[in-house]
Amino acid sequence: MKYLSFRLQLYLILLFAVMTLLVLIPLPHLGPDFPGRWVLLLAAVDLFAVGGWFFLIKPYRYLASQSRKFMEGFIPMTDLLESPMMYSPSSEQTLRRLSQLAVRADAIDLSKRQAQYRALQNQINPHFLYNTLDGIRSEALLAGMDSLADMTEALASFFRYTISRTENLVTIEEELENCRTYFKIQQYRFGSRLRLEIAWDEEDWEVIRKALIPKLTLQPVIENSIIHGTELKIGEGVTRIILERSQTRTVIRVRDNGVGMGEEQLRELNGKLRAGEQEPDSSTHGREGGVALTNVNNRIRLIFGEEYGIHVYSMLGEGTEVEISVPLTAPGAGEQKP
Amino acid sequence: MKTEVLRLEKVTTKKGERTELDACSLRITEGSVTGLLAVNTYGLESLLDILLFNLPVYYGHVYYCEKCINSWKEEKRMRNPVTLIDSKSALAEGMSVLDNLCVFRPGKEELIRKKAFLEMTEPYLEDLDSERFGLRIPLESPAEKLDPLQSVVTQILRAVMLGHRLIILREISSLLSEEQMEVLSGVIRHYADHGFAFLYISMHFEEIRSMCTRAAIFNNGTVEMTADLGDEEQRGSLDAAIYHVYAKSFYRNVSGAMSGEERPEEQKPLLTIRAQALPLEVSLHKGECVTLQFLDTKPYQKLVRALSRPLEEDAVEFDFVEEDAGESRKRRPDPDRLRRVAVFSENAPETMIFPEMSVMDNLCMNMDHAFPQIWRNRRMRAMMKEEYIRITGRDIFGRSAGELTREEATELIYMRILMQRPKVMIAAQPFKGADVSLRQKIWKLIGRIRAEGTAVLILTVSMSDALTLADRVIRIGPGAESAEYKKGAFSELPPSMPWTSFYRTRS
Repeated sequence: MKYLSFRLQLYLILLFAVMTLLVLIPLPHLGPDFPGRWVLLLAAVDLFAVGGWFFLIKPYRYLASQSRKFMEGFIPMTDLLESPMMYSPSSEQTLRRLSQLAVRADAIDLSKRQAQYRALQNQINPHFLYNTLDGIRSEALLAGMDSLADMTEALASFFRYTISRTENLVTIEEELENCRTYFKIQQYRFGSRLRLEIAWDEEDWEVIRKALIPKLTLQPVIENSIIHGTELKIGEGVTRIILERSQTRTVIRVRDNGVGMGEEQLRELNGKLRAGEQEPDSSTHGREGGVALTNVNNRIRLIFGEEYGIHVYSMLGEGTEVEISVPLTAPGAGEQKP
Repeated sequence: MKTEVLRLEKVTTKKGERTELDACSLRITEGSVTGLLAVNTYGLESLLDILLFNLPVYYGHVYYCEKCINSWKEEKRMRNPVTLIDSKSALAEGMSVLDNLCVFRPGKEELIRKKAFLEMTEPYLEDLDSERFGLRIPLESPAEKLDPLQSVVTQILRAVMLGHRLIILREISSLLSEEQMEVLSGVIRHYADHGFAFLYISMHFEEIRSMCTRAAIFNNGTVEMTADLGDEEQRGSLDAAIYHVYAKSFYRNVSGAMSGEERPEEQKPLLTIRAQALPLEVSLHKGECVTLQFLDTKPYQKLVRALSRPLEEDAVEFDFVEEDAGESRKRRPDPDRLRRVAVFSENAPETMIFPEMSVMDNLCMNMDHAFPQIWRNRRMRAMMKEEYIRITGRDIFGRSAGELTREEATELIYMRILMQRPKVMIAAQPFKGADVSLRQKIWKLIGRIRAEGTAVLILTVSMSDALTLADRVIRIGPGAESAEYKKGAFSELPPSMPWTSFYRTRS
């Protein structure tokens, strides 16, 4: 029985019926001196107490704990709706209605963003953009400006990957290639101050490179590490991508030796990532660093489930490590999730 | 590919309204020795409860060998196949080592078959080949007769036989000497090579650096940073981080004190301490701090035992030079003379506090010889309370002593000693089990006690921060042979010892 209100009604009816029977119905065959009525009453009371604990109080405590977790932002509304228990049908309907309203608001927001994105895409016809960039590259080569040509080529590759490809999941190899391109563009800005290192275990490379991750998972994290970590640091900034796998997971660690963050900021950021908070409006939010990470984290959790996502380790003045955990989805690599 | 033996994913636990673990993530792979540097102990017990007993989590997931064993969605209350080894041996006393190794294995029909036990144990012993580490595990010996190293290795062996893939070692260095730690390190590496994973919990980064392949910094209920210690860059970054973020003020204070000049040679010592049990004779000057580091645990235990029985024949003798001048030396100290000696025992917060008494009673209990009116004079007690709050910066007098935290209890004991004003204080492993914040407090309080003219004798197996207080270090070998180092020669001490790098850099 899913609803607590129904359980309570049933429990009260049973309680009333049993107690009435025990008090009113004569038990002549037990004899006048037999204290059986009281024994039976006591047994019934015990039975109802135990039954009440399992049938009412325990489910109520579970529901109260779920509500508290929802209020504190630990679980989303969908989990509350999928709960095996509910207070009453009307409370469930209220929740569903609220959820629909929230989803509708999200959908409106999403469609607005998609419309903006499409408008942007239409304004800048991708082929027109690539052709123009190729034109600039040719001109630069003819003028003997090799570095400008390289930079334009990198920019064209970056746009081709981010705008033209529409699939949700890409291989790690493709994502790494885009990261290298992005880093190349940034190196024109920062010069030799920036260094990118990518490390993996040779024996795992064949599986790791084919593993699938959401498109644009790594580039925003690297961008974040450059802008909020190494850019503010004096001296060489090293960003290191470490790729590892276990039987069921791919773990990507993006580590920088930048300025890091303090205990409170780290706690706040990990709290947001844990709760799967929606992306705040960057125009009103001062620290855009968290925006990229929460965005990537939300996409991972939406695609693979809430047991995957991002966790951040950091120490003020010493650097930050972003650990991205996704299921291992490469073919022939053990159990596949989801 | 490395199997993840343990994975904590954003684990959050609560006790009442208080968050204990806060989005704590930790990943331990097979064959790794992960050092958990506990900057403070907040949330550490919860972490161990989760790892060992699968207690319910408020949020997050726990994976063991890549299987979800605990999550906020589902409670599975069962003991995990994880072994914890700490300063208290988990071996059953009264049973032989062989019984300890085999009885807890599944298969009750073999309970009384010694031959079967031996057959069962033999492959494991052969694999370990303990002789190459210079270690012997006496299978017939009762568990309580084992020395600390044998006991720890036996517990590891038992974990291996039980198939526990994760073995947690908590503050083992306070039990083992430097040499024994080296042997243990070899044993750990041996099993790590066989795919077992170790979590080494310690308060000292130096230990973690020498024992572990990976380090994680645990602070206020979460893991803040991890680093591969094999990678020089990451190790250097972690080193710097620990210094900058957690230990800067401590380091500044300590290094200031350490930079001080060597004490001038004084003609007359304040007292001489003799322990016939070893034998040992140490002279101490007023306000001087001497650290006795035992390279073997047996002489340390002998001395601690002798100290705990002050009125017996083999007790430690204290000769106070000035006061005893002209007197014939008393072989056995009378109780009044013992008032001049304060002892801070190894597990002082558990053994030197009377939990059912008030904080004030605990503070004043040794003061009657100095202030006979103490129990009748309310004003005097109020003054003591004021002084206590001034020095420690906190008022704990509204509570009973049983409610104090470990940190508060430790402070209370040191304050009791400070107010007692003894001639000498003997502290057994004073930094054992203390996190960075408590270590700073202990360091300051011992400094204050010394400033009052009390000589301090620190007895220790693991040096921890004892070097930072010492004017002299006496290292005592297994046969009670000793080597003395004055401050000028501290740079010659082994480099693995915490704080020696400071003296080496200076020299």
